[in-house]
Amino acid sequence: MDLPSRKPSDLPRRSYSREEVVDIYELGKLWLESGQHKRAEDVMSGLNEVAPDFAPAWLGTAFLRGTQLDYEGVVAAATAALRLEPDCVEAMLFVVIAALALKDSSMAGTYLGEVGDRIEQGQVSNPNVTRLYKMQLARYQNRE
Amino acid sequence: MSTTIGSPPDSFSLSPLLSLLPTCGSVARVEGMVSSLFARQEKVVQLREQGGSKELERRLVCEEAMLRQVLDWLSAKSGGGE
Repeated sequence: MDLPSRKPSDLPRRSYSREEVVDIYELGKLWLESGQHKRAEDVMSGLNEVAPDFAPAWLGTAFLRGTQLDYEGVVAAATAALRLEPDCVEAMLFVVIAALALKDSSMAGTYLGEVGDRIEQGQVSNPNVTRLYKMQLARYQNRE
Repeated sequence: MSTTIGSPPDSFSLSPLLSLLPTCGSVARVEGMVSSLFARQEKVVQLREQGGSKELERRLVCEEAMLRQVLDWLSAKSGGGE
């Protein structure tokens, strides 16, 4: 049976697999770590569009907005991650850092409390989260 | 944490915020995606040529930029450029 010849562009568009998304994200993260922010920005923004339910890419975007001193953008990206993963302490810390920069003590205090509760309850396994939490708590307590 | 003089700093010391980003995939596996990513890029280019709403165009531009970065990296890597 002869099959009709089809160009790739005739094929229906399929969504990205979870494996594709996490591996492309990892490449974007590698570029963040090596300071190649333009490349990382293209990857994280692309992932935000093709896989909007993938929280780590929103964290990557939050990081990039921070490097641009766009603290409103940090809050927006971290909040997007929190909508997907409400217990994500990493996203909460991004909000805290941006809120302190924006002098929004109320928002900073709320999320610091959320992170602190989870640390006290033993729900945080990443020691870097605890270290960063303590740093932000000191900033909060010493704010003007 | 035990460190000695001369040992490299941990990732947290270099960039505390970067250490918040989770590790959940593998860069090495991206190398096996050349064909599918190239096909995706071709499809995106075709869709952009067809035109559409501004929102669709914006999303396609973002996706195309992502694919171009990854494919450029894969191309440089296969050519020994990186």
